[in-house]
Amino acid sequence: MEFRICKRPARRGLARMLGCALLLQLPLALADGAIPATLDGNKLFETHDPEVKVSGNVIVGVMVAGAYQGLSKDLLGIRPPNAGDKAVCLKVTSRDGAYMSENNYGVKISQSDIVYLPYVSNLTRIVEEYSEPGSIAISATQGNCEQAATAAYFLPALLNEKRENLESGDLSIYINGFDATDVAYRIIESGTDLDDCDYIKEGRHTAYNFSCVIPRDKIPEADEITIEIAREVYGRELDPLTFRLLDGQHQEKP
Amino acid sequence: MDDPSKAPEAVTATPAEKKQANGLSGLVTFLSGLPGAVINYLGQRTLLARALLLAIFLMTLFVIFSYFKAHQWVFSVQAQTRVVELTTPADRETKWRINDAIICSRGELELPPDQTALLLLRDGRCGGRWKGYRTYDAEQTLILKGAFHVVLESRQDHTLFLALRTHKPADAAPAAQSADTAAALKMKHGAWLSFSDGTPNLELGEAGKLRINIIFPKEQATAEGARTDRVFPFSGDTTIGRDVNWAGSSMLTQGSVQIYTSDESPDKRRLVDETELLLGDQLRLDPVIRDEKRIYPKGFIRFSAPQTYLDVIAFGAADRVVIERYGDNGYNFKPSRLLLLIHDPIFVLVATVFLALIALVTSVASFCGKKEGCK
Repeated sequence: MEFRICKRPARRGLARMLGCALLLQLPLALADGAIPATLDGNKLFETHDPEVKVSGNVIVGVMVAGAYQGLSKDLLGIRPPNAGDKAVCLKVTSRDGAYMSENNYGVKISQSDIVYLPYVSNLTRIVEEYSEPGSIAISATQGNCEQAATAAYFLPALLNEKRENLESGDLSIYINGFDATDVAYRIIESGTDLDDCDYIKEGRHTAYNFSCVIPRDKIPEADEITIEIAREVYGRELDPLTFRLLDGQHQEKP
Repeated sequence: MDDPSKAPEAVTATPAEKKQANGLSGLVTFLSGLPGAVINYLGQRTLLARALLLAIFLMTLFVIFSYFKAHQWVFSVQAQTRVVELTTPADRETKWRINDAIICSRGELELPPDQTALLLLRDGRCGGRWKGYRTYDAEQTLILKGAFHVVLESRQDHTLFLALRTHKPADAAPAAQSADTAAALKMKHGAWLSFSDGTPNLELGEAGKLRINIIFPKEQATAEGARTDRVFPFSGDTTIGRDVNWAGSSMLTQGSVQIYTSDESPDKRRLVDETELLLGDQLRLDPVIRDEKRIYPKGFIRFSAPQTYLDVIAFGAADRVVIERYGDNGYNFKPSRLLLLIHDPIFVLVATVFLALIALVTSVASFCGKKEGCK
């Protein structure tokens, strides 16, 4: 967008200069929304294979409960709490283990801002089939998918239609408990006792079989929190897992 | 004179409408004339030919009816597995004998004073977050009223575990659920331990949450001469085996599923189809809904030490047998209509009579042909 009046030398003092400055800032202000991340490669890597395979990940999904709706609508975002170059590994896994995708994204942000993760699926119809809450899990970890697990998770959430805001909601964690009879979680910073996760009985649960729902009001207002996942097999405790949750939701935009 | 008011209608009828009207009237004429034409055709034939044509017509109708009628069938399952998952029905009571077991409770049980049937354990066998109790009642019974999630698992060390948890329904059919709920409301929902020495029943769980593990220790099972069979009759949603996973030592070992007809017939049950179950298969038996009521699969589980697997026998009147196999998408194991048709005793009887009739008619026709004149 060009403004001819602003190309001429300023003749009428400070007011005109300020006016031109404001007009030139207008396009930037209109574009104020989520910063798009760049997908590695031209196409999303995703597979749908009804012949499901065994997976070894324990933590399969860490997301805002309604984030799964953003997959088929291409409205998925995160909010890293810190500025800088960010590499994000986005994994999407269906509960039955048939659909999975694993993609790297890169983005540079100058402050804590909403980052839009483009997700233009070639298997939209299949993704839409997993429209029940809990039928598909999303995880966005810090770093490339090929690197060793950093145990630092961003919090994927549903973007609004204009890709300006992330929808808020309870936190869902999906766990592959293998033989575990009980799974529980604890937010270390809260200092509270372990809260039980729920066993998913319905349908085929090859990829994960427990879901932990953490109410939004129980999540401390911090950019980084540590969550511990405890597992038991008939009372015998397995080694707990801990991971960091990186989320700048609590920061006010300047 | 024609009524002038009707003239515009005739004028406004489009060629397409006229064609459609002509087609319909032609079809009606054809159908109304069909019985007459058939009677006329039969009238020109011999008596034998008429009987034959009538028999073929009736047989065709019967085949169509038999093919599309709602066949009933039942399944039976026989399996050896290390793990079984159940959801007990919301409107029924389930009772299991759990004598000489260790009861692990999340939270301390409120034991009545002076009772001697349960003893608090301090050996940590239940795990750090659990309280353990040893039962000394020879008739110790667990009573479940309503829906609970139960896992029965036999571990490699010959120990049998039972995990009992509150069931959270997900997507039950509304109609069936309302019927179940209505029935369930008449019954107090909960889990109790019942004693034979006069101790009042002890309710398990608190604030609607129930987390109980029951351990049947291996020392009883493996002690010489102490072969203790444990039988757990059940009805409810059932999953036999577990998805293959990296930690998975507990899975289905072997078994078979048979499907029988259950139509009215002299012998009631005829084997229609059968399939073998392989190591690592997972079998899901879901309830079927009829007349807004859930009909649950039922059966029993037997643990017979020193075996390390559970014997499961289950039955059900349903087409809801799903076999999930490693590397496969899973399939609903149900017989085809054709398979059911050829195992329908009434159909087989009628078809046999029909074929005999055809053979007879053919023989008679052949005989008449030689003698010239059997009009």
